[in-house]
Amino acid sequence: MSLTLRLCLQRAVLSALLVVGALTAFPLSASATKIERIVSPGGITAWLVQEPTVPLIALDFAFRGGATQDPPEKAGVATMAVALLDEGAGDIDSKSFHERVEAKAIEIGFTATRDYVSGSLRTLTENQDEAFDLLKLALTAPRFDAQDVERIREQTLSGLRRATTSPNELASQRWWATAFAGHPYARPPRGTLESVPAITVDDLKTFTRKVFARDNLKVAIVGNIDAATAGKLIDRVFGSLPDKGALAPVANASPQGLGQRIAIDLDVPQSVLMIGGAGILRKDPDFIAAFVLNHILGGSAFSSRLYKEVREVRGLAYSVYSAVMPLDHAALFVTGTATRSDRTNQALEVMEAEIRKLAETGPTDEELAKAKSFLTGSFALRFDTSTKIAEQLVQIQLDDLGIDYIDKRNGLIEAVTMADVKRVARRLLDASMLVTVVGKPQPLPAKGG
Amino acid sequence: MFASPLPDVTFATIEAAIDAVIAEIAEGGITAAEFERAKTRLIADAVYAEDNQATMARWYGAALTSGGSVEKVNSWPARIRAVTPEAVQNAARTWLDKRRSVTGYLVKELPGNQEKRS
Repeated sequence: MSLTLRLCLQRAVLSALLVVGALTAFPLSASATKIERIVSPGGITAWLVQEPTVPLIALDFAFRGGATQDPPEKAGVATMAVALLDEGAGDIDSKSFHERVEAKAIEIGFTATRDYVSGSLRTLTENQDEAFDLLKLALTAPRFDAQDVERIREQTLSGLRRATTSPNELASQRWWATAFAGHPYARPPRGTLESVPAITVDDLKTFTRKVFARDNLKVAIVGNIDAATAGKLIDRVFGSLPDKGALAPVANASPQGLGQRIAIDLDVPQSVLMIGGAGILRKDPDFIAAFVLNHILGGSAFSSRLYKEVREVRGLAYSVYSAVMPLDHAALFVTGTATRSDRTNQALEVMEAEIRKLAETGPTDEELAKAKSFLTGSFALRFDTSTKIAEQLVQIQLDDLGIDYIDKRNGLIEAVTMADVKRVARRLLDASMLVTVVGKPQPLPAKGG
Repeated sequence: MFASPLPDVTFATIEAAIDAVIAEIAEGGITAAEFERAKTRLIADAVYAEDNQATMARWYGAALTSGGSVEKVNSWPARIRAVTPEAVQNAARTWLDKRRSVTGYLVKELPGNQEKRS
């Protein structure tokens, strides 16, 4: 049974629960999730899943070019611009915009990451016209009224002020600033206490003009909607955007400062550790093997090697994580934890020893089998709502994995061999990393000392 | 109901403001726009819940463990649709009676002249 069919069976069974007493049995074949590639009358490509069982529509989309497109001295422009898109647009001021969205239970949201601006919409089918009209206004005619800009600026600054006493934030900021010095990835996407006050309405308008364009756009739409209606609604939202964006080129980069250990003093009882080095790009043939390897090392919440050694055996932390983080212009492998300040060095030593051990000897057969079983078995949980399906379909398009990726993906995991994992373990883990520690740790031992 | 007053606003002031809003509903009812907005949101929540297996499990589970039934969950949107503005006003009169209420203040320290309430 294919994954998508299994998913649909679950959905069908659950939907059937809601119509207890209905006379007709639910036809399973009709519910098989099929991803269609559609092209709108205006020429915009989108992926569509028709899901007629629930009267709603979920739309997800992304533009390439997120915080990397902030002007160098104006970190935070992307984040602030997207926070203001639904604070008034066209003839509708901020208050009325919120009222209209609320009156029809329409959900519109935007986020900016380093590489993308993404957005989502969820609406009842009966309110689709109002929903898509409001989204179009937000994307194409945001007002950026002075009072709303100042309100969002103050909210942003208040968050940034709080971040100055957050060990997690400080560890992460210093890590990125060091690893990508001189590169747009060094700048915090939310901006800084210095950069955010300097952002002008012109900066915000310039950002949306450069980034919101059809050649940067990926769209997915899921729900009770046919291809023709989907095409029309997509044109209504995105059709008037310029054909081409004007993205500043972003250089590919590798993390710098590897081998360094940086300590930042902060008066908190618990120290935060962030360790990171070079990872593997999403399009690299070894990415899937790296993903499986990471699950064994620290990706799994309760059975990874780091979890066992750092938490269960030594009681050094509540949680410890590791992740492969492929960005558009760099690939990272990161791991970290939070621990009592006087145990920081011990935690760091244990983590580095586990990483080294996995690089040298690889996982056991049992670890590999369990990781593959977990990763294939849990894949369906990424698709258990229309919103999540739409989000995944946009991500697959951004990663350029192909429209058949969902059906292929578990086969790719199954195909990972012990030789693959060992090869990628040497490549990923047998390298020096950059460490940032925030708190009141003892002096950090020199690397190798 | 809860409120977090601005630094220079007393609890007595904010409590009186909340009481006034409730009294207004009990006496004058709610506006058509308020009524429609609330109904739309509650019905939409039910539709959005149908799209989420975890939420559905929670809805049915919560109903069945607290004396409800599958039928009660299934008929929720229809029952919301059937509510009238008068019923809302009656509910406010009957259930939002100040004499049935308990109010708690969370304060750093009680100013000398303020009544201690439990």
